Amino acid sequence: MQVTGGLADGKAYVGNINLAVETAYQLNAGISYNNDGFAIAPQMFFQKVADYIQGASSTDMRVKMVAGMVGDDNLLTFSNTDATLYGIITD
Amino acid sequence: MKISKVPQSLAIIFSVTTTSAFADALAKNNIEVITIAAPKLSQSNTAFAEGNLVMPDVADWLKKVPGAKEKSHSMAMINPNIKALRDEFNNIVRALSDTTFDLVLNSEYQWTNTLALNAVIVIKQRKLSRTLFMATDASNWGLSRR
Repeated sequence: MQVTGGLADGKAYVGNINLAVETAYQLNAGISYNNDGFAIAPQMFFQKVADYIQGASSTDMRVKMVAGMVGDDNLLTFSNTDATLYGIITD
Repeated sequence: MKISKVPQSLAIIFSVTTTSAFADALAKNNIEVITIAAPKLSQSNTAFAEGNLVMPDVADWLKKVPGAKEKSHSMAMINPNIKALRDEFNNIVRALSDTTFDLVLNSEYQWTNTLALNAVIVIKQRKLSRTLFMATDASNWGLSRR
């Protein structure tokens, strides 16, 4: 049986065969400066994601029952949601 | 039941590079179409062919193709709930596509010798996960960990 240790976040994840494909629409803008061995490249990003795939508490009663038996009362399942992500990063 | 699909992604990159002015560069644009088979990215901070893109989603982690044949004779199948989940996974119609579509439009303007500006528009898709079930301690349930 396929199992996964999740996303290295200490959570246990259950797959979802009915997941839709995630589609992200993203804008990026930034500058890069490079001079005498010093470089910096800050970037702004804005992202609208349709059917964003992330873990959420499972509502499947079978999963909940199994979760209790294996000692994890909060198994997460991959699910779709809409999301907006934005921020600034720099290299 | 058999899963034999190879993950495929189609990346279409529109690249515009400027050296003097943005308007000038628009006339120098080029279009490149790349087909990438089984990219097998374990993680990604970039698009397939362009750098400096922010991808704060976790969906890249979901590209692992799950096991094609779930065990039906392990100790775990004594549990009717696990068996039901396994049966649901094995019996589902495999009319699922592993093909995703990425579109990247990248513009870069070299302002001075040391300073450059860039703007990127991206449409990216990530395929679904078909991972079924995780037991907290797989070895105790006769499950195989991938």
